Amino acid sequence: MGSLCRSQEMIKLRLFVEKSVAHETMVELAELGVFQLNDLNEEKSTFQRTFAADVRLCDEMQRRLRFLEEQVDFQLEEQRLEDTITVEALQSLQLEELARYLCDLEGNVTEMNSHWGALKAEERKVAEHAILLQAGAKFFEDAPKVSLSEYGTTIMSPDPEHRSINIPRSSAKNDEETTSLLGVSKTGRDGMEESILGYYAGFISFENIHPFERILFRVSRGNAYLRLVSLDEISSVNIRFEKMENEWGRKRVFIVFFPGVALGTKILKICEAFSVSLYNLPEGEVERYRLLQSLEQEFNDLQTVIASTQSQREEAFREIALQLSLWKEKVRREKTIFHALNLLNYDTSNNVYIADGWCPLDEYGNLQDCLSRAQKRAHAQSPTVVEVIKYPKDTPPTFYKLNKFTIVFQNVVESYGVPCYQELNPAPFTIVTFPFLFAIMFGDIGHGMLMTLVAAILIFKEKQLGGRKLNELVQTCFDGRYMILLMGLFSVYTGFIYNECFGVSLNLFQTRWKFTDASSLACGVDSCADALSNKPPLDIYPFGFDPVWSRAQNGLSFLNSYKMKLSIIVGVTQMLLGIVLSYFNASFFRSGLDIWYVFVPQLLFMSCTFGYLVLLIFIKWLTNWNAPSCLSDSRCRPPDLKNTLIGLFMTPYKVAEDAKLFPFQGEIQSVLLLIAIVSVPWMLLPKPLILLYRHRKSKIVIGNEEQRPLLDKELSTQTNNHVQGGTHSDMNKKEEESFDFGEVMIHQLIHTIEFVLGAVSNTASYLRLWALSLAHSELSLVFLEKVLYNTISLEHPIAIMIGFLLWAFLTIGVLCLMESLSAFLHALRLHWVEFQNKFYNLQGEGRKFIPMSFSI
Amino acid sequence: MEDIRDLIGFNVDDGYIEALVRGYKSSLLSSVDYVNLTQCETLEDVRMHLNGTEYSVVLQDEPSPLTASIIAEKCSVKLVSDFQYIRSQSTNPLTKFLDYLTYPYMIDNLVLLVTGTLHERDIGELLEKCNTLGSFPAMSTLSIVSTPEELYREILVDTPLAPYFAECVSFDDLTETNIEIIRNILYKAYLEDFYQFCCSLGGTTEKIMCEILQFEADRRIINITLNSLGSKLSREARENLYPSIGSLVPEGTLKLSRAEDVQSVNSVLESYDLFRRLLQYSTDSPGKSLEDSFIEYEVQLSKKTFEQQFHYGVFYGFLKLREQEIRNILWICECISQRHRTGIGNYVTIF
Repeated sequence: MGSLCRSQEMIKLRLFVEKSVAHETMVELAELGVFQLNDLNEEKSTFQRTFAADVRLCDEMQRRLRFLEEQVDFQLEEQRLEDTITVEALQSLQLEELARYLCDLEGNVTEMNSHWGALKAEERKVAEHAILLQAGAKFFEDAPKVSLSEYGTTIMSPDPEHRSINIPRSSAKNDEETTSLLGVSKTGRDGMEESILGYYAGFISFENIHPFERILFRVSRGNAYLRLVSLDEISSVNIRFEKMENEWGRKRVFIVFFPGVALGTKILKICEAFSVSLYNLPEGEVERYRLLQSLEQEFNDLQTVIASTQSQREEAFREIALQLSLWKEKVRREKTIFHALNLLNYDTSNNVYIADGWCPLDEYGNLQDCLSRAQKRAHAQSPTVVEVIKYPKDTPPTFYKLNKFTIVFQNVVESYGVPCYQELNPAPFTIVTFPFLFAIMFGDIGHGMLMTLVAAILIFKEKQLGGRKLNELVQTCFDGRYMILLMGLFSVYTGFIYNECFGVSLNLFQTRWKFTDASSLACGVDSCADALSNKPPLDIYPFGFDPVWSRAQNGLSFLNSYKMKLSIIVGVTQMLLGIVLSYFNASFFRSGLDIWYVFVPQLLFMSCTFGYLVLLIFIKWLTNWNAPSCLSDSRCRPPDLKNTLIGLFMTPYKVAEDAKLFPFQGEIQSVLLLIAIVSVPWMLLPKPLILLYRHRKSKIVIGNEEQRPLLDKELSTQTNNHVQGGTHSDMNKKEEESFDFGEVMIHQLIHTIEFVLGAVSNTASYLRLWALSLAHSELSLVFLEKVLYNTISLEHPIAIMIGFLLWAFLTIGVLCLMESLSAFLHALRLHWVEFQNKFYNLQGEGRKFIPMSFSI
Repeated sequence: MEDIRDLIGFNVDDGYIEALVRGYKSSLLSSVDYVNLTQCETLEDVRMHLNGTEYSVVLQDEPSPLTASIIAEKCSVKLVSDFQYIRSQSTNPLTKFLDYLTYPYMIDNLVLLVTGTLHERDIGELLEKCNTLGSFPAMSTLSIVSTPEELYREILVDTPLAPYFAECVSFDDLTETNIEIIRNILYKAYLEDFYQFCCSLGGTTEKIMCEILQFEADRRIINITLNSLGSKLSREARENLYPSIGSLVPEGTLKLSRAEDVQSVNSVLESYDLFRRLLQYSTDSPGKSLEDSFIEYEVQLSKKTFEQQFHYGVFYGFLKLREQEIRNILWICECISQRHRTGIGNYVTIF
């Protein structure tokens, strides 16, 4: 715990590393992960640094690795195994060799891919051609017949849907009566000289069909005829097509007929523009058949080649896949090293690298061990020299040794701000206060147990879940599992105090009240002899609230009064703790000014106003208002503490007789108020004035040669401060360098106003504990009565089932999830604002310790 | 009144996209970045530096060796994907506004392709040079046309440029001069149309966009005048190319259409405050032409769009600024690869 209160002591080291050992040293340091390097080349941009070329090499290798990974993932269907990477394997790998190897590998893979691509393209071409031929057969079978009429050749479409085209007679050169239109043309792709109609056949991708059709229509002014065949229509097509469609996307076979050569060249251009693949479609059936035969032969040959290539490729890729993660890790590590090396300064005269950085004092020995290890490994002649820089100018980073339990709470604290070096850390207090404040708002045995259960499951499965990547919500819960556990346990505890389990009061120890026929009011079990007098029980309920209160008419106001007072007590206590902690900070940093002119008046102000209120609460609780002596005395009445508090400020010396809690209350109150009032200017004025005085004095001192010894003394106290803690003395130094009284004064004014007003508003803010707790218990009561009890009273099994399900859903969803979230946020706020603003992170200059390390 | 309408209603449809664009804007390179870039020794250094910026996504997987054009190309890929993302998220009238922004690229692409075909260049090669933002259907089939009439009937009729082309259909054939005239006519029609559209949007958009478009029109008028000095273009023909909007209309355009040499153009411009300043600026700073000062003023205008909220000008501003940034990167990269150290500082700092 001690190590958590203040951050680890850090020392600033300067390492002089021989050039040949630099790399090894960085490897060892990163492995150890306790050294934070400072940037000694801040003025240089990334590419001007010494190892920019190496970083670039790593970048390039990472790019190659990404490329290979992509290829491997694409090629191999089986999941790659995440193999474990050993340090030995990493060390035996040489970066330069790896770089060369990766370069070759990339070349090979690219070559392999292009070869593969060519093969596949060939396969596609052959397959498409074959399919086209089969589809072509269909074209010609369905071809319209031509009849010659006076007006020209009419193509009679066999299918009435197809529009018929009129071709002027002059263009028709044949004289046969009727003939197959397509039969006339002696075509191929080139031979259109003798025909009326030329045609092209090919494949077009599905999404291009419409634009293609449109532009054909425009260019030919409606004279080109496009016929599309969806491949489903070609029943004779063999199965290869299925495969093709998967690989190359949906395509259609088309054939376009057109008159004239000029239009033909245009259409050819259009086809090119749409990157359509055109194929030769002979018109004669025999030719088609022969071509198809040869294509099929070719296709089969190709298949064998493809299969063998495929297996070769898979082999190659599997080999790559085996080592890929090792390579990736290696390159990542090397990149870390080079980035670290880029932070070093090179001393040309001595051929050494100079590294500057922070290390926790505890780890100093380990660090030296690792340096000598590195030196041994690299066979260096001279050892690495470590120099401890005694009085560093910059503030050390903040570093805590955390475990899986404390880290959650530290994170909660640091979300507000990173603590300054060696500043008092609120985290150890938070470990207890946070779940407790949460539990005050969430007090319910049942809900608390559910929450504990969830946390327990998460903790139980810690090892299983730890390494995995979880969904964001689960991850948040998992990270905060120990906090949730504590919150749940504390909620069970407060639940016992409130005596609530899912909204039901438990009668664990037998209620000490009973109702009699004699009176509408209850009386204590053991003092019910005279039922009419309604005496309270002599022996009270041992722990928590008597269950009778949950049914009593004044139960709610009783609970409210209790919870309100509890909130004030908890709040004022926590704020006083905050103020006391500010004393420990001030005394640690040897700042007498802050003790006497900030801490003392703050403490006095707080305890004289709200501390007094807490005192009153306790006195009121401890007084037996039912004692016979009190009952007989008309002045002995429980006073309204709100009025007493208001009276403290309005008329402190005058307390009404029946509102007095103790003798001389008026006089004591007057004194308290006086102290509180005095402490306001006490907080405000002395600190800035003393600072001003010191500043003036130091100026005079510097101006006067004879008073040199005094200056030395001052310097020595300053350096003393340095050793103790950099932050504060740094602040002082800065102030001394440029002291602006106005600014300091305004700063102090703001602080004072904030504290004085804050004392009121923060105390009021703690009342949220009561409000949330009230809301929680009322909600659970409402769900219980309106949903569960009402449906049970219907006495219908289905209704009860539905009612129970609804109630369970509401309990889990609204009470356990939403309410817990809101209680969590309120507890968070109370810690960040009300508690921490009393002492924590007032300078806001903390920075975290980020050691150079291989771990992500 | 319209401002209030913007205030209340703008975010309903366009708030998210405006936020996106403001986010994109904050990723523009700063002057520090530019200073670092100019210090680079090789293009690999440039990549290393750009890896720390928004461009890392598009550049990091690019195999070495790099060339200046590859870098610029990859940077525009980023611009295009950003723009298309915005476009796909938008609703009308913003979608229409964004479409309008792409028309100039369409015009440029069209002219590039037609000129290329005229010189019998390979269409695939030309298509690569085209700006993706201005792609239109049937772009690839442009090589089949040989007359303006065919161009209109077969290609443009489907594109949003069709209405702008009406005047050009009457040209006989596609010669280089004609193409240049077609470009100017298209641009003129586009500017006028866009101006009308922005006016119809009203509110802050109208105020900001109209100022920008007027400047754009003025700039075109001046450039047309300067380029046509000493050419065979007649006075009427020249005047015909002038957009009918802008601060130079009508008096300035009338005078400009009569201008015979650079001096007379300058004397016309002297009477306009803005152009006097720009002229002054270009003469004062060595190595800067009037066009450079126009560009810098355009950057100023584009930056200014971000100073107000709830209007569409930011989309225009962002596009222009990103474009300028890519031009800057290209310039710096070219200077580095050609070892032309002296001119490397001639980029336009944006932020």
